[in-house]
Amino acid sequence: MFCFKYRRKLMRYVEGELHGKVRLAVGEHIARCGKCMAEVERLRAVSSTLHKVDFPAVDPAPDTRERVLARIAQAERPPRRGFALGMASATALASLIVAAILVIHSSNIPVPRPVDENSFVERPTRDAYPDPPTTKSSVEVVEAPGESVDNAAARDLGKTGPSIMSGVSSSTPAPAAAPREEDKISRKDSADSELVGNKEMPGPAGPVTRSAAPAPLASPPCLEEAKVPKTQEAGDLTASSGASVAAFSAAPSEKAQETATREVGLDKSDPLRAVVESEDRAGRLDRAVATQKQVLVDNPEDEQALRFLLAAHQYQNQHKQAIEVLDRLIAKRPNNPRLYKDLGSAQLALGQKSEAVSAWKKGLEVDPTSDKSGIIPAAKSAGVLPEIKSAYHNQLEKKPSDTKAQKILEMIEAAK
Amino acid sequence: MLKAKRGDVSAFGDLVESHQRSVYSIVSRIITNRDDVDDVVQEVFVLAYQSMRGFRQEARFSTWLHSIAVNTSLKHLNKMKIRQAVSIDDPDTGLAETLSSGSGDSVESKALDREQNQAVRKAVESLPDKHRAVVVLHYFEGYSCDEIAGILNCSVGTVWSRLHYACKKMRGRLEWLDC
Repeated sequence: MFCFKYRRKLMRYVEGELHGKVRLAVGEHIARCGKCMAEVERLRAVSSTLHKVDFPAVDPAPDTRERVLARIAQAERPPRRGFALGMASATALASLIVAAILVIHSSNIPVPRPVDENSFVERPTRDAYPDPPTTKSSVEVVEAPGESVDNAAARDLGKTGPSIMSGVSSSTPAPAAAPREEDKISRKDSADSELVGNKEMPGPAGPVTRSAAPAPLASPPCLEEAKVPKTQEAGDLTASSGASVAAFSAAPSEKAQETATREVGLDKSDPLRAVVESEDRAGRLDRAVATQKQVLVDNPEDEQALRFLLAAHQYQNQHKQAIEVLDRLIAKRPNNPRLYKDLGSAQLALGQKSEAVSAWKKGLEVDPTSDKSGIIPAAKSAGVLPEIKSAYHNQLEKKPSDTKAQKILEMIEAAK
Repeated sequence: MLKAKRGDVSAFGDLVESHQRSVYSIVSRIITNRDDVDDVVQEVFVLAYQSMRGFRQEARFSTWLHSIAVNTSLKHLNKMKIRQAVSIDDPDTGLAETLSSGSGDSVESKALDREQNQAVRKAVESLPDKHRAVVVLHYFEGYSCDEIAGILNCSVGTVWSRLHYACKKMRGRLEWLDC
């Protein structure tokens, strides 16, 4: 009887979370009730098993820090693109309005003349049509002088036709596309924050907006730019240093679309590379590199600045400088195989084959179980994979218990 | 942590290093695909970074971070619906191999441990996502039910209720407990 009163407390009883009178009362009930006693026994068996069972977790990946920081840098880019597209749409919209005003007020431009002179200002209301305009013949076609009815109809439908508006209408996709992109970002943000949001806990309260995210990098120039107040950025639209934003103001519709397409098409797997390319397109790469070097003068250990410089040197095929930066990065992160891969590639580009082989071997030895950084394919395409392979074979002959060499050889075989 | 809150990426990188093990622990116990674990853990830290300014320091940073880890894992499971696809013996996950490292002196006891571990793991995996999260946090991460209620943003009663339900459901799958 009255088991339901106690049933809810059985789990706490089993876990030892009931105290004082309540525990006593539940204990007394269990002693009298066979059903509850059996339930307690079952729960206790599971609970004690779970407390003592070995449930192994996965070990952290060695490059978690690097990957997280790279993703953060990548996540910083969308707001700028969103802002840029927003600016593009605003500018395109403004030009559309200006063009419309020009069309209306310019007496030199042949304005489409309505059939009824009065109806130009005051278009017939729906009541003016006795039957709903369901067919083409019933649609009102405003014919300009010397213009065929078909062209006028097509123009009115916004498709083709020798109208002055056709030049403007070609720019309409830009303003239409931009809000969709922004909507997508905000929808994703709100979806992300739905689960993360926590009103009781000090979790990320409310929707995570991009603007709320702090600009993390003191160094990369794209982020420096993000710190510029909007008013200043908007005011500098015509300045040549205003990067892609300025490009939009010069010729809003086409350039906006072109730049947006290029930015979307960037290789997102390497955010810093994307930043470098973007800076180069804006003609500011030299300035960005100089800024990063200055950051390193102040703080020679600044990893983000080093990584940006590396990306810039790689982008410009400055292998010698890239090697210098890589040496510094490897000193900081000796267990990152990706750095060895880049080092080997740069050395090979300079004709330093043996050094490249040595660097790639080191990279393979960092993580002999997986070649996530792609050293084996790189060595294969460079034609030095047999050399690496024979080196490890020799190593194994000298020391058959060398498991590292064994694993690397297995990995090379598997890659084939 | 204050530096990271102000947007210092390097300081946040240090936080990643110091907390990655615990986040991996939670994420990998809630979702089981090894490749997904890496992605979800990274997503957890990115979300944490983006929300650092909202962290009011009323609880420990680790608790706050773990709440993001649990919620992101649940969201991931919702999205991917991978539970049915993942097998305990999938060679890619390496879980069976990891599970085989149970303690025990004799070969028989090792085999028994392994069998029991697998059974428990399967039982945990069979639970609904929210119940699994409660079990993982309570039994494997050592959180009290009060703390779990904070992490999952629900009442303590709900946590106990989920725990009770989970134990009852797992009991059906752990038949060897009857022996």
